[in-house]
Amino acid sequence: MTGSAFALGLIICAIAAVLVSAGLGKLAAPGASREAIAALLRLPEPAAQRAVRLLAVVETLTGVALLVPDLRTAGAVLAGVLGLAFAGAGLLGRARGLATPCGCFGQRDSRPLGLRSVLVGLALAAGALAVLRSGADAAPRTDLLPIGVAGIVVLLAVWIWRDTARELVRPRPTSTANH
Amino acid sequence: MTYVFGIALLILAGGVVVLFAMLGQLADRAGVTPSQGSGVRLLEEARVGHVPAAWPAGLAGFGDGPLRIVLVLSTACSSCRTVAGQLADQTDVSDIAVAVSTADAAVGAEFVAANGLSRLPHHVDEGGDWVSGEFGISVSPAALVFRDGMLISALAFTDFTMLRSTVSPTRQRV
Repeated sequence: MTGSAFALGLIICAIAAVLVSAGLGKLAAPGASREAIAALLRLPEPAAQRAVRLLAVVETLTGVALLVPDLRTAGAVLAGVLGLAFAGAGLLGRARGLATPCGCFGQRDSRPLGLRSVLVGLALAAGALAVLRSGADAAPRTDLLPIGVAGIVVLLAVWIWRDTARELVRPRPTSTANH
Repeated sequence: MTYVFGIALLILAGGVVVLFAMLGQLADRAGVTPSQGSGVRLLEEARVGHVPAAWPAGLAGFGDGPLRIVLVLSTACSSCRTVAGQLADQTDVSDIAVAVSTADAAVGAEFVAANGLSRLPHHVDEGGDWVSGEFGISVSPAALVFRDGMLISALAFTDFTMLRSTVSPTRQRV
């Protein structure tokens, strides 16, 4: 396996993991993203709710498509479009001075849409472009990609919800009463 | 075969994301509901009688007084944002300080700035380490009540006015 093929595999895994995590996170906990989209696009709540669901489904399917050789080109195009859309949302959020958390992965404890969203969006678009330029068949060991994505998804989840994870493993005092 | 195994792993990983997201949403909704009496309840797990070994720089010297209240607000909790908004409208807040519990210090600093909390003594408590380590409190919004630097009570609440009617420097009771 060449270095460039390995790097391409990593890029595909990273893009797919970010999109799958963001999509599933929003599907499970849409509240924060709904408020952010409502504030950003000045939409009423029901329309913002529908927009979040649609975005979450598109993100998840795009992430999965990157893992299927026949769908990888379409997945890369969609990932690029999503990346540019996130960058645009970050610019708009910054211009409007939004204070609402972006809830990009479903978590309320997040920064508002802004410079970080622009950088992440541009990184996604650049990664998608690299995948497109390399061609759908250039990635090594397609069968290993889902394992790589699964690993990154779990690491991302633990990082994003580190407070919740810490709370889950925090030792608790045991009751000594009633023996 | 490896591909099928990988897809199965990915489905499990997706389940982890959904689980964490739902736990996060539950934590976000946690707190005192209006159905719970006055909306203020005692936190039994608090280390009442504890004098903190050290106060964070932002709260230095704050606890030394007849009755002082440190509000614990989390950046991940929607009722905490409501309480922060209520604080912005208050004029008599000389006995109030805020500890902002957050996973990311930058997010905590933005929470303070966005809600105008910088006029109060405040501390961005990354990971909630100070509040949970010193007082055993992992609930927000919560009010830690101090007298002469000692924790004398801890309350969960969702409405600042309700809290004020329960704890007041003029009434001197908790």
